[in-house]
Amino acid sequence: MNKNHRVPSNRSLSAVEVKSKFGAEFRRFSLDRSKPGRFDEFYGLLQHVHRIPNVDLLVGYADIHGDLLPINNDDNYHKAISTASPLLRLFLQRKEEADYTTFGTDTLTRKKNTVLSAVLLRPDANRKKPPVIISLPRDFRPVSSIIDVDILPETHRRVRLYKHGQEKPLGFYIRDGSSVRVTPQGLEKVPAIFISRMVPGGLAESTGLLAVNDEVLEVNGIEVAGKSLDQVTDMMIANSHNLIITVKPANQRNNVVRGGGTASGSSGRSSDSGASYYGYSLSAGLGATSSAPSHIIQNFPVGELESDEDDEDLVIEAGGDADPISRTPSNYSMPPLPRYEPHLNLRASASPPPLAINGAVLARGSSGSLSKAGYSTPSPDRATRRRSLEEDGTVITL
Amino acid sequence: MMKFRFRRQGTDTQREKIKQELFAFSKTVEHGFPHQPSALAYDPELQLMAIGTKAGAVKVYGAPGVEFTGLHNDTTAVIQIHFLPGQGRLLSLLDDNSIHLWELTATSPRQVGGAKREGAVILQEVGSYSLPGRPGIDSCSTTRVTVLLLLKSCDLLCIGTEGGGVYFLDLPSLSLKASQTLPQDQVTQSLPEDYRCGKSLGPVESLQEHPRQAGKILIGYSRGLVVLWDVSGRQIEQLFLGKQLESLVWECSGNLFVSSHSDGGYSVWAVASGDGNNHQPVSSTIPYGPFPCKAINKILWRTTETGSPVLLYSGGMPRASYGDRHCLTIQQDKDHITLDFTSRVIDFFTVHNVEREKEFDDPSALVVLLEEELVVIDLQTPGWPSMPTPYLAPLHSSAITCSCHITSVPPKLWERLVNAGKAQQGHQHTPRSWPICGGKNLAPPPKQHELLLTGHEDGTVRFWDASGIALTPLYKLSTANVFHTDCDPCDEPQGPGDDPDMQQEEEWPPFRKVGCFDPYSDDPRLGIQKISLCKYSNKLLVAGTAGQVIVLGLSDECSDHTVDVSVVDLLQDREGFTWKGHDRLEPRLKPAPFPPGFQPQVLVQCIPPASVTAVALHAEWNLMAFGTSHGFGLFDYHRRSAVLARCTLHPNDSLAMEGPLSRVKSLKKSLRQSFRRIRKSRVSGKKRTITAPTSKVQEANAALAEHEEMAPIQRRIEPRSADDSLSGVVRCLCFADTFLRDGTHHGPTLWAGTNSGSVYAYALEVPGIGSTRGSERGIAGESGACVEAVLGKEIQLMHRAPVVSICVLDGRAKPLPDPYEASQDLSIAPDMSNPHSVLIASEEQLKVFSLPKVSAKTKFKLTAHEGCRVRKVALVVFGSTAQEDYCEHTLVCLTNMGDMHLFSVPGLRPQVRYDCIRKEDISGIASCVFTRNGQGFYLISPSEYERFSLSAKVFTEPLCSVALERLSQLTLASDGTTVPPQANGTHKNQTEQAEGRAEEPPSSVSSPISDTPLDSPLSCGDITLESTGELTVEDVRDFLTTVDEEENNLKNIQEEEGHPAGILIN
Repeated sequence: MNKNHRVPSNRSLSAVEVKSKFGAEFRRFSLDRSKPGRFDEFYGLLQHVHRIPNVDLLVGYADIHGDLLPINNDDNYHKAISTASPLLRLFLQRKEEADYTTFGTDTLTRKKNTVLSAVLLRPDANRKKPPVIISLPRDFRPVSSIIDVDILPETHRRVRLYKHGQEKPLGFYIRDGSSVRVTPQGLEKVPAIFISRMVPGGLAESTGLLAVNDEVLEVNGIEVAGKSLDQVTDMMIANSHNLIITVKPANQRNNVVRGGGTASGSSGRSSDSGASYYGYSLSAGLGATSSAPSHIIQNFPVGELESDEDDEDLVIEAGGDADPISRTPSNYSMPPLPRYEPHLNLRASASPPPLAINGAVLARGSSGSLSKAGYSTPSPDRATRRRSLEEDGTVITL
Repeated sequence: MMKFRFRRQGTDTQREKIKQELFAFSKTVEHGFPHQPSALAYDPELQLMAIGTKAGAVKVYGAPGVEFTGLHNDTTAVIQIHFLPGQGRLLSLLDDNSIHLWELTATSPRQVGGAKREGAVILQEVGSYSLPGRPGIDSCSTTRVTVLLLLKSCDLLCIGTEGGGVYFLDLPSLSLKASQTLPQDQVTQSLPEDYRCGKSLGPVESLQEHPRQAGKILIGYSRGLVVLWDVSGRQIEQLFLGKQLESLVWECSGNLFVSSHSDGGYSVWAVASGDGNNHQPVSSTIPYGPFPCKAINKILWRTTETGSPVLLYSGGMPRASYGDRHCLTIQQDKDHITLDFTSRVIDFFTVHNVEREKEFDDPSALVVLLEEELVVIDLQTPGWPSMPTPYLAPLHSSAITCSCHITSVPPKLWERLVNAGKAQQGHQHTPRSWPICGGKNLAPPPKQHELLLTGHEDGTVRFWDASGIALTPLYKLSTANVFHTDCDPCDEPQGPGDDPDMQQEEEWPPFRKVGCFDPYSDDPRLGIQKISLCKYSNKLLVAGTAGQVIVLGLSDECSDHTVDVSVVDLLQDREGFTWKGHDRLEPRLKPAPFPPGFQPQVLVQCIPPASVTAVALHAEWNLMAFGTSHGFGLFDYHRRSAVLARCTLHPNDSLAMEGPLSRVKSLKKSLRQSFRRIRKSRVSGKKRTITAPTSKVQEANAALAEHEEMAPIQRRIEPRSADDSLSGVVRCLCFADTFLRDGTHHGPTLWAGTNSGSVYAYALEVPGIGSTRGSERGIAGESGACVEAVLGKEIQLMHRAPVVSICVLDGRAKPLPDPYEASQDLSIAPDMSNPHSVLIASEEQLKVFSLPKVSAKTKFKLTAHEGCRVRKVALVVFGSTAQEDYCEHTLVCLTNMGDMHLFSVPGLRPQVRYDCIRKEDISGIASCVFTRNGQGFYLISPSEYERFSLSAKVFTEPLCSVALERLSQLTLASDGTTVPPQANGTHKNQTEQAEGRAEEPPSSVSSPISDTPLDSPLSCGDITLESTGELTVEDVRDFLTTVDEEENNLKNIQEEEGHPAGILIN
C-alpha cells in the first residue's frame, strides 16, 4: 500500500501523505497536493484501497487542531488536502453504523491531546470548552451571516439570520430603551430598541452574532428610529423568514477592522461575492466553513437569498399534492437537528479574551495566522493585526 | 388592465394631480351623544343648545343638521357654558379655572382636493381669561370660580368664587373690573352679629340677576346667606338668611325667588322692597321628607298662564330608599312626576317664553342632559310625555358590538324600514315638533339613502339614517325573542301604562322610567357580532356571541310563527376537544309574535357555541356562510339544510376550545402592560395649568416613570407558527362567481380565511346557477337538488398572518358586484372573459393572486416596510372631482397604528397615507367601518361615531348658518384686524356706549325677561328672526318700527360687532 513513501517533513513537496483507517485496518497512500481531483474520485479511491467497494462510507479527517471533521464534498475535501501538514489522517466509518457525535470540536484533541493543538493553538481548550456537536453534513446550510461589511460603519454590524423552515426558534427578545446620540447640540438621549434576551439554544444565540443590549438600528433595511417597540416587533416577525438586523453591538471590541479604512472595495473579495454578500458565512456545521480564506460558502445561489420567502405560499389543489407556488420547494424535509449546545459563552465569561474563543469557533480550520492574531494581547500593534487579517482574508467580526 | 398600465406610465405630476382629485382626508362630523358631558347651556334667542364635555369639547346644536364643534386647547373638563344670548357667542368655564369666549364665525370657501367646499359657520375660540390668584397664600382655591352670571345686557360677567368673593369682568374684552369686586368681608360686615359668628360664608353657590331690574343680582353663599346686591350702586339691598344652599331661581316677576337646599328642601322667599333683613321664607318644603333626603341640586320655577307654576328640580330623593336614583321632579298643582333616569343628571333647562311682553314663562319643553343621553319632555301635552330627539341619539343605549354600513339603499326598502320604525314608537312619543331649532342647515339634501346598522350587546340591531349630519334612529330589531332568556322576552314593546312595576310604585314617589340608556345586558350571549344585509332582497343576516346565526326577512305585517332551528357541528368529530365556554342559547320552539319589520326565518346554531367571527350572505344563491374560532359552515336557508361544515382547528390549539373566559386570561398580561403604558403616557403627558404646588408631584411622577423603565417591556421575536393559539379562527368569508377549477368554467365559490394564514376555496354547485357542470350530472334540473360544496383550493400563506379580507376581482380588476346587482342590471356586469384574480389581505401583506392558478401577481408587504399591521380593509370606489365619470377602485387599509393607507388595485401601489385614529384607541380602530364611496365611521367613545371621508368628492359634513345679523358682519370684523389704531378707537367708544346701556334705568320695559342661560334660558318655540334685533337693548325706547330705525339698529349692531376684533389685536 505504501508505495509512494516520502519524507514526512517535507512540506514543499507536492504530494500529501494519507493514512486512512477503516476499522482496525490502515492504508497509506499519497495524493498530489496541487491536483487533488474531485471528491467522488477520492471516495472511489478509498473504497478501492480498503477493498470495500460496496460499503457506504463516512469519511472524516483530523484537522490541524485535532478535530475530526467530515469530508463529503469537493470543498472540504480540498480543504483537507490543502491543510494536511504533512500527513492527512483519515477515519472511515460505515454509514449505517456511523457515530456522528464524533465529529466536532475537540473530538480528537480530547482523545489524543496532541501536542501541537494542545500547546500551540488551544491552550485552554480542555479546561473550558464543552464539546460542540456537529450535525449531519448534508444538513449544512448557512444559518447566519454578516453582510454589507464594506458599506457599514465599523461600529455597526448587519446580521442575517436564515430561518429556513428549521425548527430552531429565532430565540431573542427586544425591548425599549434609550440611546445616547451625538448631535451638534451635544449628547442627546433618544428612544431606541435593544436586544433584551437570548433564548438558550435559539438561532440568534447559536450564531453568536447578536448579544443582549445590542442596539437595533435597522430591520431589513428599514430604520427603526421613531418606531415603537410593537412596530419593530411586527417588522421583525414579518421578516422572520429572512431577517436582516443591523445592530450596534454593545460590545464594540470585536468590530470588523477593515484594511483600507475606506468604506468600500477594501479587498478583491467583495467583487467576487457581490457587494452585499461580502462577508463571512457561518454555518451550523463547522466543517463547511473550514475553507480557504477566499472561500465564501453559499450553499445556494445568491438569487435565492434575494427571493421572497413568501412566494412560497402553499397551494393545495383539491385531491392533489402540495404544490408550492414558487419554483423553490420550501418544505424540504429535514431530520431534527441535534441539539446545538451553546458554546459562545464569551459574553458571559470575562476571563479569556473574547476574540479568542469566538475566533476559535469561527475560524476553525482557517490558517494559524488568524488564530495567532486572535490570541494576540489586547494591545497589539493594530497595524500588524490588520495585516495578518488581510493576509488571512477572513473577516472576523466577533 | 390596459387602462391601468397606461395610467402608471403617466408622469408623476399627472398621477399626483389625479390623486388630489380622488383623495382627500377629513374628519367631517361626530355622530351620537357626546361622551361624558359636563355642562349644558341654551340660547333662547337663537334657539341653540350647547353641551360641554369632560374632554374639553363644546358642541352647539340647533335644528337637525345644525351642529358646531369646538375643542379647547387643553383637554380639561368644561364645567359651565353660558350663551351671550343672540350674539352667537358663548363663554365656557373650564376645570382649570379659565374662562373662554367662543364665537360662531363664518369661514371663507376652501379648496379641498380640487373641489371647492363652501364656507360654513364654525365655532372658534376668540379669547380666554383666568382669575389671578392672590400671590403668597394658597390662592388657587379662593379664586376658584364656582358660578358665572352673565347679565342680560351681555356686557358684564359676574364671577362667584370658592373664597366667597364676586368679581366682575367686562365683556367681550374679558378684562377684570377690579374696582367692582365684591369681597366677602364687605358682605359679612353688614350681617347681624349672631349670624356672623366668626365663620366664613362659604363659596358663592349661585348668582341670579333680577328678572325685571337690571343691575341687581342675587348672591347665594353656600352657608345659606342670600344677598340682593345692586351692582351699580355697590350696596346690599336685602339679606336673606337660609339653610345650606344649593341653588337659586327667580320667579319671572321678580317678586319671589326660590332656593333649594342640601337637606332636600326648597324655600320660597318674598322680595319685598324696604326691609333689610329677611329671616323667614314664605314657605319651606321638603318634598320627599320626612326622612333624610339628598340635596336638591337645582331648581326651576316657571309660571304658567293657565294655573299654578311648574316646579322642576333634580335630586331631593329620600336618602335611604332612593338615594341612588337619578331623578328629576316635575310638579304642578297635583300633577307630580318623578322622572327616573338611568344615568346622572348633569343639567337641565326649560324652553319657555322670553318675550318681555308675556307675563308668564309658559314652559313648552324640559331638556335634561344626562350623563348618557338627552331627554326632552313635552310640558304642554298633559301627562308630560317624552319627545324623540332628532340628534344626539344614545348610540350606546346598549353597548355597540359591531356595525355595518349600507350605501345607496333602494327607496322601497327605505320606506318599509321607516314605516316599521314608526310602528314601533308610535304610541310612545308626542306629536309636537322639536323645540330647539336655531340655525339653518345649508347642506344639500343627501343624494342617496345610507344606512348604518349597529349591533348591540343586548341582541338588538339598530338601523340609523346615516345619510346626513344627524344620525337618526329608523328602526330597532331585537333578536332576543328568538330565544328563551331569563327575563321574559315579550315585555319589550309594552307601553308605560300596563307595566306592573309601574303600578306598584304609583304611591310615592311617582317614578316614571325615562330614556333608553340601558347599560345592563340580560344575557351577554345575545350580543350581535356580525351583520350582513342584502339591500335588494331585504334579507338580513345577524350573528351573535353564542354561535347563533339568524336569517331574517322583511315583512310589513305582524306574524306569529316558529323559527326553524338547525344545529351545525363545526368540530366534525375532532377528538380531544372540550368546550368550556358558555352554553348555546335555548331557542324558542313555540310560535312567537313578531312585529312588522325584519322577522326571523331561520336560526342556525354553531356547536361549539363560540362567538361568530365572520359571516357572508348571498341572497341570490340563498346561501349564507358563517365562521367561528373552530371552523366555518355553509347553509342553504332556502332548503333549510347545512351544506358544509369545516373544522379549521389546528391539532395543537387547545386554547380555542376553552371558550372565551380563558382567552381573556391569556390576554391579561399584555393588557396589563398596555394599560401601564397608557397610564404612563398620561402621567407624563398631562399638562397642569395650576402649577404652583404640583411640581413635587410631577417630580414624583417622573421618578415613577423612570422607575418603570427599569423593568422594560420585552417582545419576543418569533415567526408565527401553525400552532399559535386561536389559529383556527375564521376571519373572513366571501362568496364569488369566479374561476376556481379552470379558466373556462366559472361558478359559485366560497372563500374562507383564518387566523393562521390559511385560505380555503370551495367550488359550489348551486342548482340552476353557474356552469353546466351540475346539469351534466343530471341532478340540477330536479327540484330536490341540493347545494354541494367541493374543496377547490387550499392556500397556506407562508407568513401565516391572519387573513383579514378576501375579495375576488373580475377581468377588469374590479371587485365583483353584490348579489342581484348584475342580474338586475343595477351595475355593470363583471368581466368574465378575462382571467379573474383574488385579493387576499392578511395582517402583514396585501397580495393579488391570479385565478384559477393562484399564483402571486402583485403584493405589498406592509408590515415588513412600515411595522404596522392591517386591521381593516375595504375596496372603495373613489370618484374624481375633476371628471364626472372617472373613478378608481382603491384598497383602503386601516392599520393598528390608526393610519389609513390607500393602494391602487390590482397594482397594490401605495397612493396616500393619512393619520386617522390614535394608535392607543384600540376600540376606535376595531370599530371602523368603510362605506363604498370613501367615507367611514369609527367610535371615538362608547357613544360617538366619528365620520370621516377619504374621498375628495364624497363627504358628509355639517354646513350650516345661524340666521343672525352679526354673522354676516363677521368677515368685516376680521378685516378690522388689519387696521389696529382705528379699531382701538372704535372699541373704546363702543365700550362706553355699552356701559351706558348697562346703567339704563332697570325699570325700562324693554329689557328682555331673561334669566342666566345656565339656570333658565327663556324662550318660546316660535321666536322670529326679527327678535334677534332686540338683543341690542337700547333701541326699544319707543315703538320705533319704521324702516329708518331698523337700519339704525342694524348699524349699531354692526358697529358693536366691531369689538371683538378690535380687542383681539390689542
